[in-house]
Amino acid sequence: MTAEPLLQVRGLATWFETPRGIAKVLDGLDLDVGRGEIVGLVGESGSGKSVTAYSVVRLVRPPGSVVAGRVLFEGRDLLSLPEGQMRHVRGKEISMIFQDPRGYLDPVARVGNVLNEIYRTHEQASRKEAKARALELLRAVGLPAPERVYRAYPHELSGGMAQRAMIALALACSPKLLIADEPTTALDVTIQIQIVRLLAELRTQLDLSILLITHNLSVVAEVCDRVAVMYAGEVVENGAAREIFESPRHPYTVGLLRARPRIGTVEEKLADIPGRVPDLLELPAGCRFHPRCFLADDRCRHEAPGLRPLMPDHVSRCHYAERVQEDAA
Amino acid sequence: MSDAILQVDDLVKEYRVRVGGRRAVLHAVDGVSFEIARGETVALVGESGSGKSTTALCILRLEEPTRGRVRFDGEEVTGRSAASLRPLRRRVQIVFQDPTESLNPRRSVGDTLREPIEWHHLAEGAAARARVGELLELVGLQPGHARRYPHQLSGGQRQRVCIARALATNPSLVLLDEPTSALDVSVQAQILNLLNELQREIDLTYLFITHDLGVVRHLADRVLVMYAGQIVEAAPTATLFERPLHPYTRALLDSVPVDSPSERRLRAVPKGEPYSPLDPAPGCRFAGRCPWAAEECEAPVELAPAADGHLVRCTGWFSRRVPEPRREAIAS
Amino acid sequence: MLEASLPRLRDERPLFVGLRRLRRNPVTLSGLVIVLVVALLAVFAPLIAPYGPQQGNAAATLQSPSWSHPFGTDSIGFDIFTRTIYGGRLDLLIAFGAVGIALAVGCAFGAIAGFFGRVVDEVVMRLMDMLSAFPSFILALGVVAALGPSLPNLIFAIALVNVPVYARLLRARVLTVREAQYVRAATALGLPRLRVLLVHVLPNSWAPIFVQSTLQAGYAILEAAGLSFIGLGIRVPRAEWGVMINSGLQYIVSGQWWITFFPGTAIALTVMGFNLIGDGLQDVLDPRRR
Repeated sequence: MTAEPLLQVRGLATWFETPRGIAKVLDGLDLDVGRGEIVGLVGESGSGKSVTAYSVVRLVRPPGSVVAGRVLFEGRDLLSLPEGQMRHVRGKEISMIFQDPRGYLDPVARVGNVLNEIYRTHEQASRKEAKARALELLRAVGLPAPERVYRAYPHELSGGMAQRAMIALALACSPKLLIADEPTTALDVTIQIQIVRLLAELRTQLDLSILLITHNLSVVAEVCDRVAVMYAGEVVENGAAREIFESPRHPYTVGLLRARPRIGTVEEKLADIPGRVPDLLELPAGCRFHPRCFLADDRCRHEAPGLRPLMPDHVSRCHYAERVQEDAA
Repeated sequence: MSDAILQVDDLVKEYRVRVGGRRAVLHAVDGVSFEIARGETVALVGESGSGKSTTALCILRLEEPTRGRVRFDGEEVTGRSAASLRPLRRRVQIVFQDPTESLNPRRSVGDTLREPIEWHHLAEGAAARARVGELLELVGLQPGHARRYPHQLSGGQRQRVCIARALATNPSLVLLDEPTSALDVSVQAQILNLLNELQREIDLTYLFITHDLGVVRHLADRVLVMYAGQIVEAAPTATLFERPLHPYTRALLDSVPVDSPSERRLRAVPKGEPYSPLDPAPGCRFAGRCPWAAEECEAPVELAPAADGHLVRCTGWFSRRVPEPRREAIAS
Repeated sequence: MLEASLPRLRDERPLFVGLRRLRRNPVTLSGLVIVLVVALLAVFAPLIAPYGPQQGNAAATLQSPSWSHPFGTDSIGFDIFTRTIYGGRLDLLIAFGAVGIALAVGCAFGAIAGFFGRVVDEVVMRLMDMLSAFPSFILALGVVAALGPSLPNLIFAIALVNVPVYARLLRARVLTVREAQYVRAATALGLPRLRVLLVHVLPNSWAPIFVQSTLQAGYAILEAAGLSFIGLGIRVPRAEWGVMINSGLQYIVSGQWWITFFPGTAIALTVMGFNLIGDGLQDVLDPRRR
């Protein structure tokens, strides 16, 4: 990756105040998204992946707040922008789509009206221009009857159609970065693949960068160029998708990959990851993953590993990253 | 036939609805028939609108079937009063999808587990409490967990409690409605392994309702694929994955994302949306999305044997319009 | 796979969680304190009050607040302070009594209507509709006028007026909770319907009822005071806040403000106390909120 990344997150820290103390959901996160790249941010519940997305666009609400770090978008630090300027970034430069589209669309507004409004907010455009653009977008996201969807209310659309409509909304002002938070989790399998492929196509057609947040490793395998794996608020492994899947270098990644019941192979017993995700208010000392790790030893219990480069472009947060491949057998 | 623990005959469930001001009938389950043998694990697979969950609820009469017959271990389930079902309910149990919603937030784990034991008069007092401890250990928890409340447990632990509750009355048949969909991947694996172990230890029969083909491949002996309220294909698991006949089954299998980037392939992405059968046309309901659709698909079509133990509901298959499935479309 | 021994967690029985939350909720706490103080004063009135509630003193009429009469006296020489404290007995009794009865009856109707549905639901709710067709004060007025102004009748009238409120509230909750997955699970386990209603549905439907009750208690006092004020409730010379306000009304103009002021303040304070409790109670009662 020689060109400068579109998005560079450095040292992002987002903390939440709870009655029991401060939960440091993110505490020094680094992440890059290059131009025209699809980066998968993978993690289970409590990993902090959604919070990362919200922090980037500064939509974190109390009791949470971004306390430190830089979010460099095309060189500008978004965290230091006044809110007025940030509003111009949201929707125009960076857009987001969410898990349940019908929950995020105004139930009493027709899709077409929302599209028009977004377009006209960020661009100076007449109603006719806005409508033309709206229909063009709805067609571009693969909706077979754009006119009908234009006039429809969200509840009249099926899950898949609503998600396509939401993607159209997100693309209305030609953003450079699309953040997709679990966009296919609520969808049926046959629709999921349609949406995933649509995102890949849009990336190619529009030179769009996508930050795809999901817990589904197979979706990541399907379209992502690079993958960042998160656990308990930290990135534990980051690299090219092929690398991560073929030679993972962190025990958690190995565990996740093997815990999937897959069609291709049938094992007698699924390799599960013992234990469960730690409480953010009572994190283990040393490496956050050590209580569940098959490689853990005394060093892991006391010393938290940093993110180490193993190969150009492949980092892992594990003292024994080199041994992961042999011991994983 | 005599070893069938569950027999479902022509099960139908219709809902009267209003759509856009017009009255219509939603055929959620439209003539489903199948049998489950003792000790088998059968998977009922489908997407939204397929009717798989409704089928399960009708089998237990948690929803009242409109028509059709269900027999459990030879005894009639349908066609009798709801009150007389109580002894049967001891022997057929269900685990629901969302473990958080399935547990009464005001009752401790111990209370929740003791309830079925005491109400079916299986044990009382100290004996009941001991049994609760046994059940907890059976599902991989500890007896001390009985004092906990649902909100003090993780998602995986809650689902274990739900499984323990289902096993509390020593059922022979357990229905599982998407038992792992609401859980994280690593926890899913734990629960699936647990279900496998339990079946070996206790001699249970499972009816799994799911949309996750990986889970099906891993656990099921036989698969029933449902679309728009009907079974469109039925086969032993390995057969279904190696030789899917019905165009919908093929589309379904083809839609599963790859396991790893190196397996990325060009695929014919199925078009259209899953069908919700509101006043459906008499013919094949998949025709609108099927690459091999033709005029003959407008006629009603029945489930018929294509090979030994392999049934399919497709006119095009039997008239040779639909070709043999290509091997490389499915990972082997 | 799991911890060797389970860590000891705090007691999470709903009652204890509620009490813990209560401690942290200043709004509810202050309301509770107010109501408790009023109640204690009322209960221990004979011990606290310097005079009898109907002990007149012709020599000390219309006296402004002083050391011997902290709240002053009225036209008959009754000590206002004594009567204010004693008035609390009646008004609180009416509040708790009327609300209690309305709650019991209304909830029973609401639970049955919501749980068993269809015909039962229709019949019960039409009955409730008939009751709530009348403005509450007018209905209470009518009942008391018909039956005669006495304490039991007053309580009955106010209770009657409030029954539909509870019936509707509980019915709405029951309709929602009835569809919950854990209720379905209980049915799947073969538990009898009545048990499902009593053990699973109702305990999860209470919360809004408690909140409503505290607010209703405030209204009940206002209604009682109102009815007594117009002479249809408690009668002079018994000590009750509404009565006291009535008897002091004519003296405001001539400057003897204390006769109405203190009972009026007592009503306001007590009603506010109930309202404050109601405000914070919703949070305190929900076991899922962390």
